[in-house]
Amino acid sequence: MSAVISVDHVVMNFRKNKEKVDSLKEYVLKSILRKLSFDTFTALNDVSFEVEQGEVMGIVGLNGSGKSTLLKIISGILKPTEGRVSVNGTVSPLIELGAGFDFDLTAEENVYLNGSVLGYSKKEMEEKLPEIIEFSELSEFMNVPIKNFSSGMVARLGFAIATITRPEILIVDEILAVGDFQFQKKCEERINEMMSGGTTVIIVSHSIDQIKRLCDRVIWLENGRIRMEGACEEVCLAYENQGV
Amino acid sequence: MRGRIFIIAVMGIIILILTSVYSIRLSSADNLYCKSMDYENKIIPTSDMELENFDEGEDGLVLKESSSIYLHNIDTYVYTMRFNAKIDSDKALKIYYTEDKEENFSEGKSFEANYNIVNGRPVIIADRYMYSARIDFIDNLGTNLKISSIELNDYSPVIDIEKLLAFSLFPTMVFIIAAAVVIFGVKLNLYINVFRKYVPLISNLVLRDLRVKYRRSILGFLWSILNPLLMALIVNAVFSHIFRFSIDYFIVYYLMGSVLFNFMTECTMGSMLSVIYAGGLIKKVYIPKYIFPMQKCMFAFINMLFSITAIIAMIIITGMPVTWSALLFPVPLLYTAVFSLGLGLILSALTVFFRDIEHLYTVFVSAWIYLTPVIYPESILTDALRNIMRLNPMYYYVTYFRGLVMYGEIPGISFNLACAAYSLLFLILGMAVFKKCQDRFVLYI
Ligand SMILES: Nc1ncnc2c1ncn2[C@@H]1O[C@H](COP(=O)(O)OP(=O)(O)O)[C@@H](O)[C@H]1O
Ligand SMILES: [Mg+2]
Repeated sequence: MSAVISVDHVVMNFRKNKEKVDSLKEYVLKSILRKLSFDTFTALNDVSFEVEQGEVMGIVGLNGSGKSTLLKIISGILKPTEGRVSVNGTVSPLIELGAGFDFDLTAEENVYLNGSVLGYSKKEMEEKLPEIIEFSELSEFMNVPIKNFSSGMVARLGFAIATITRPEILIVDEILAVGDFQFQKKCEERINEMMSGGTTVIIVSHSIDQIKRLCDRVIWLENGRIRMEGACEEVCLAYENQGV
Repeated sequence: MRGRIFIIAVMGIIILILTSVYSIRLSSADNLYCKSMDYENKIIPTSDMELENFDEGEDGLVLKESSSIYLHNIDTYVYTMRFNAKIDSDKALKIYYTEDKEENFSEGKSFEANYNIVNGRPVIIADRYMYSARIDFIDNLGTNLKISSIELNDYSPVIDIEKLLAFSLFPTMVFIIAAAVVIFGVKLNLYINVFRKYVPLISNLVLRDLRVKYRRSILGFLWSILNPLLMALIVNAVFSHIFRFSIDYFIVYYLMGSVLFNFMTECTMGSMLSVIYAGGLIKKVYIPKYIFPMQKCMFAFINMLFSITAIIAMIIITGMPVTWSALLFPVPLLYTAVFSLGLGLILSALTVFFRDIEHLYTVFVSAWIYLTPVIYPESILTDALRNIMRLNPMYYYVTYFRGLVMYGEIPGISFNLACAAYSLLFLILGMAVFKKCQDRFVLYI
């Protein structure tokens, strides 16, 4: 087995919001008055781990502990301030479903648009269209502008598109919480199916049950640091019992 | 990697300086030869310089239809000819020359030249070896000519910005590109593959832009053609009167300048905000970010193609004669597109951090259009302004575009290299600035 994702001493600093200078005028004035300060907030602090081919990794932690930030770094959306991340394979990030959906366009038009956002050609998407329609159960709605969709329907479409191309790495951030119970089950099935096909998965979820069902290994983040890393059962147990 | 980029930059600057020195020497004529005959107001024909067909007026010489000045025994490389004279005309001269003693003057060895005014004196750039020369005054009938001498290759430096761009900036850019290909060569394939992967996205985004633009107006695509036409009619009504004497087909002249300039403006203004507007996407998925300025430039390019229909319509309506050289019109468009993309990349990257650049640039553009001969003929400018204008990339592109279509002129190598130098300079700068900034975009939008 080889490491598909390796995260090596990653540090992520954000500027504190009140320090934002976003005009040239302000910048020049402040630098003349020497009021430019660079206070930062460390969202991730020295995080290292590896994920191997075909593994399903769960990430748990309280709100604001840095889970989404970590996933964004792995998907290439954010560049870490320090440290290195290497990813071998095509990534399909489900940070937010339907990135690039245009709500004025119909569902079908959005399949092509979202497909191209993820880097797939029109031809590839044409081939997959029936499968997408089937999975998302939206066959009657394909010609309806998605501004008329419920958030669950949008999520279904987004999930269907992102997973249809069988990426080598799937990154899922709390999106399984949207949609009804039936849809969640379907998504889990899809993820399970992909896992058996060798896809590497990283899941963030607030549902410990879901984590327990799906994951092999879990990382517990606390205030931007890894508090615990290990087998699923073990970490989940510790995480659940922390406040008690 | 840092170190190597630094070395390239330093070498680039050294090449730039060395070639500049060479280009300036080239243009400042290098003290090759100087022939000066000093007489007050009049020139008495000598064996070396001979006047033919002049009338002597009270106030100096009066030009006739076939007035010529002969220069014999030059026998040197003539870079410039400076007239210690006052010539009340901006019409060109025609110069015939021979390259050896036995030769006669012929059309094959002749060229037309315009005056550049340097230090208050008209100077002509000849830039060729001559054994002897004949200077014909075209269309200056009745003009008084107060001439005291003609100096060949005079000492005062003529810094020819076009030559500087062509023979100094251009080679520097070529060096930098070559060096970059060597350094990034391994990764080049990777970049190209990533780009390929996102071609469908670009075309989707451009199509969406087009749909939004043309769905909104009832006249649809027609509007893109009508808009410049109407604008041109208005400008024509106001200005053609003023410039009537100096520009034929003023309405075409204006339309060509404004279409090209507007293309550049639309590219750069569109690019400037493109990254900010794409914030939603950039925060959610990984996408190469240069796609967004590129998208806006392509969109502007398509819009410009519609406007070109307006130019064609106007050429047909006015019955302006057009030669085959007009078919080369995509060349200046390409130069302009590359330049605009480069500038667009710079603006889009910086605007993410400094939002007020949007307003500064808008003001800048409205000044810029007046430093480009869009609405007026170049000849109304003072010499100082005309020289400044040669620093303006848009000057070259607009002149190129019009030259091909309106005057049947295909610009020479040095003009082309000057155009390419600016395009490449901005493209390289744009790519460098954008690459340096792009990782931080997501933190600022
Ligand atoms: N773009 C940003 N700018 C400033 N602070 C940010 C930014 N993104 C996230 N943060 C901060 O980083 C911390 C971790 O956020 P996040 O990764 O979203 O946590 P989680 O997903 O675990 O709830 C939070 O305190 C959040 O305020
Ligand atoms: Mg989160």
